[in-house]
Amino acid sequence: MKEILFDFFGYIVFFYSIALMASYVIMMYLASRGIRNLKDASLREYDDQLLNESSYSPGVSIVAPAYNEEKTIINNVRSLLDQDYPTFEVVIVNDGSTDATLDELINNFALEEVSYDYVEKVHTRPFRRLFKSRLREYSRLTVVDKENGGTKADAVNAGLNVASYPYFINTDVDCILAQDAIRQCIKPVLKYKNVIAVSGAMTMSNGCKLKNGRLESHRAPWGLVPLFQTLEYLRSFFVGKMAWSAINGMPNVSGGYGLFDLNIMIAAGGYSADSFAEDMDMLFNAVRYCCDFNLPYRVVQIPETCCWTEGPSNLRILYRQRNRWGRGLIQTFVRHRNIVFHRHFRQLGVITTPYLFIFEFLAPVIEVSGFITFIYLALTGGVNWLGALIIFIGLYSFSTTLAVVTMMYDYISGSTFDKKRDYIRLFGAALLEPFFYHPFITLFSLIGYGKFILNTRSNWGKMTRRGFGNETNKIETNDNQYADARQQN
Amino acid sequence: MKAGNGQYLSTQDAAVETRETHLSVSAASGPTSAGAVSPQARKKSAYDESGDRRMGHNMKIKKRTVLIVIGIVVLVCIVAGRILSPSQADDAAGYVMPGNVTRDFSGTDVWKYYLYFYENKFQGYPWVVKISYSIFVVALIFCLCTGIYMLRFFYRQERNKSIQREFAEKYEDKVEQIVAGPSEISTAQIAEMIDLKGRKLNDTELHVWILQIIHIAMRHKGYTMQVNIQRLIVYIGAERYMLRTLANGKSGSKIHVVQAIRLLHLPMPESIMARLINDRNLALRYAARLYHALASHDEPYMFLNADYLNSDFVRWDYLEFDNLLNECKAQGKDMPSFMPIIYSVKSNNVQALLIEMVGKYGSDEECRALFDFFDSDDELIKRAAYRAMGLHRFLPAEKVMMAHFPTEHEVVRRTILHAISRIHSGQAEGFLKKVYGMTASYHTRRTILKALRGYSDLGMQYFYELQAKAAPQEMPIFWHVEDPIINREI
Repeated sequence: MKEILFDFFGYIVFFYSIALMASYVIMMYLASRGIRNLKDASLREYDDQLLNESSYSPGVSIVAPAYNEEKTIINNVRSLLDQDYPTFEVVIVNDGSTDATLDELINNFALEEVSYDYVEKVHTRPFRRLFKSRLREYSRLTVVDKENGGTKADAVNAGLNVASYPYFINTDVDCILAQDAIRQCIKPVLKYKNVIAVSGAMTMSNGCKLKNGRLESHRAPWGLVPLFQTLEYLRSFFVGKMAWSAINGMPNVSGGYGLFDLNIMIAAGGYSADSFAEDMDMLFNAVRYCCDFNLPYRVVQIPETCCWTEGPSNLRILYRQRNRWGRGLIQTFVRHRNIVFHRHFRQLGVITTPYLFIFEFLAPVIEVSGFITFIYLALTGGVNWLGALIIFIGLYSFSTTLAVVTMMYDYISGSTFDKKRDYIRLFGAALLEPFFYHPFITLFSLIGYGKFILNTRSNWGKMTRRGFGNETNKIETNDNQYADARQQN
Repeated sequence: MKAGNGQYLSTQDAAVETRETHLSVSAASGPTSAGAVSPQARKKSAYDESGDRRMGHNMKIKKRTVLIVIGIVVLVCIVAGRILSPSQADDAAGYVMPGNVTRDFSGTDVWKYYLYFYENKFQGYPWVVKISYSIFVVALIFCLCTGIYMLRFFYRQERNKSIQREFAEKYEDKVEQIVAGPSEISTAQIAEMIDLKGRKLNDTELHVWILQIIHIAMRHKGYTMQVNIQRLIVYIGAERYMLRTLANGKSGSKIHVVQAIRLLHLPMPESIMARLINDRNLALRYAARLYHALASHDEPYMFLNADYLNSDFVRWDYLEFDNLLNECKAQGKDMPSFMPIIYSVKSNNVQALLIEMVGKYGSDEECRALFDFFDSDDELIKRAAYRAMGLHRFLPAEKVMMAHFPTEHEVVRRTILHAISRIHSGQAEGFLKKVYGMTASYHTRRTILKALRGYSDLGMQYFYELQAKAAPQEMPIFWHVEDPIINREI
């Protein structure tokens, strides 16, 4: 009986793996088609001229919440203001910072409090004041001061209430955007129909140098943990999300960078302040809104790296991040469980959420249980080691191939990195990932599920940022801390 | 940001105006417009299924793709079947003693050997092992192929970079002098300056050179010498390259060339472009028709007809259409008449666009004919008509719009207010003051106050009168409108 059970479990794991690999093959194919369709359809210079000169170019509001960012806020805001696009504004939401964030902004940008008729389209914690600059060169900048809402979602919602243009970009204030980030994201809005959100690729800024608010060099991180994450991000954006975009089944537009239709997001209720994965929750709400009111919609992923963000540099911080993501994933499934397998929600209900449930949500559970079973069999002499080795080599070679394809897609899309040897380092990371990174991610995700199920209190914690420090030097450690304690129900 | 009448608006109001300008076209790709149109009122566009023409290839799954996928699946099944089936060597009846049979060694025997090796590598092992081994072999081959493809890509990129570097080092300054120089330069002088030393640039080099010339021309936009650019293009052989591409190239390359021609304002033989005007590829067809409108002097707009406008128009096409008409106007061409087409286009979004075009470029008589659209059931069309009056600054429309104001929805009311502000007849203060009390929407009230304050001294007086009578909860609106920083009055 025991043998039958073990055999049965073994076959489940094996078929699960084969199905996962087959899905990745399909994703790689769909991603390649998506990249081919989106790249070089017309001359970039022609597109840029048209966007610059036409009065029909839509305006874009960049909404970035800030909490206790006094050390880096000025550089970051300058970087946001440096966007190469004719009609945009930058809305910084000071979410009740307890340090000198607001003072730094006021002093550096000649801000003055203005009388503003604040209309609360999405409910937030109380609004206090609004600042604009007296200087014409900073006329695009708006700073909203409000009471701390405890979450990024609340701050972003306040930004939505103030945003003037029909589209907004949701980003973190410490993210560095490519100078043409708005341009790249607005093109699908104009060239496709019914686009409600556009996702640009993100990558780690841990290995980059910043000067005058702009990235001077784009390099892969030197640390192992951020290097693994870089590979993971590339795979997620250039294979996973490109494939979902090709079938209009995107599950998520990252909260670090994404362009959205303001009216749709407000109509869908804005961001949920009590969600661990507010970006995914937001998109689900927006799609739900469109499906409920029979509106056509499209969510697009573009194969361009638009945003650089600082990733966790050690396992401790990575643990907190992945813990939260795990909780966010399970929370999203619980909240939106009626979407799964429901035709009414189109591709999201019929394809995306079932896939995510089986291959994202259940993956850590199956992996850990498979690993435990393997250990047991190994200790009891139930393993054919040559067979096990061949199976492992098969899976390992597939994951390496996936990494190679990912790097190829990134390279042909315009290359995130300046130096080709960064791809060699990434390849090295791909070889080591199954041994040194993936097990931790699996474990952290499982712990996140467990905490959600056990309803354990959790803080967002402190993301220790190294920042860019002295502009001409490599990364220096500073004491900039981002703390965002939240209360759990 | 300036309004059409030259007055600065606050960023907020400019944004509102921009948004409301775009709202006539936002429904083409945006599911809702400013939340004013109830979602139920919108119907799914007939063009939703037509594919994403402007981004390149059609994303629909083609029959050929399905057949290829079926072929791959069949091949995998055959290979898997051979792997999983018992080896023929196990069949005693097929056993051959080595040394008993000889034959000549042929080339295919190598492949047969490897296939045998592959099929029998893990005989006696479970099929999961065999499949894993197959995955390993396929992954290895795929990695090799990917590596070769990437190397090819690296090579092309490095080659292009090397051409760019050479251009930047040896030719960029001279090309800049030619393109942005103060006076005409003859072909002989260009040849002397560039001095290719008899070298003929190949297609790759020409492609890079054309892009670099475009960059230089864009940097000096408004100050370029068109004649010099044309002579330069001919001298380096780029004209022949472009003609060759237009005649024989892929659709994507043709589109790039047509766009490059437009950016550099190069003349091209009509016979070449005529072939592209009715090309199968929709994007290329559009690009060629837009070029024809710019280049032709006899009948520039003959292809911008109902057929063109009834096809799959997206917002990008609105930008191109608007840009085209701007360029035609800058060239001194007469503007086309859109009135005959307005009634024949099927899409209400395109109809709204054409109504706005009438406002921008049409005559007074045509604007008067737009009054009929004030009673349209479609809010998009209605707003476009009101907006057109503001764009045209059509004075006779003011009283008509004022008469319609009380019966309109708030979003439409704001459009009327913007139009009245732009018309600026000097007689609207009383109306603005009167309608302030007619609306419960603070957004509309803010628009009214903004219009009053910027209208005239009498308007300012009425503003203060309304402020004096306003309830405390309304004061933020007045303060907002008065704020000098928001209004960029400092």
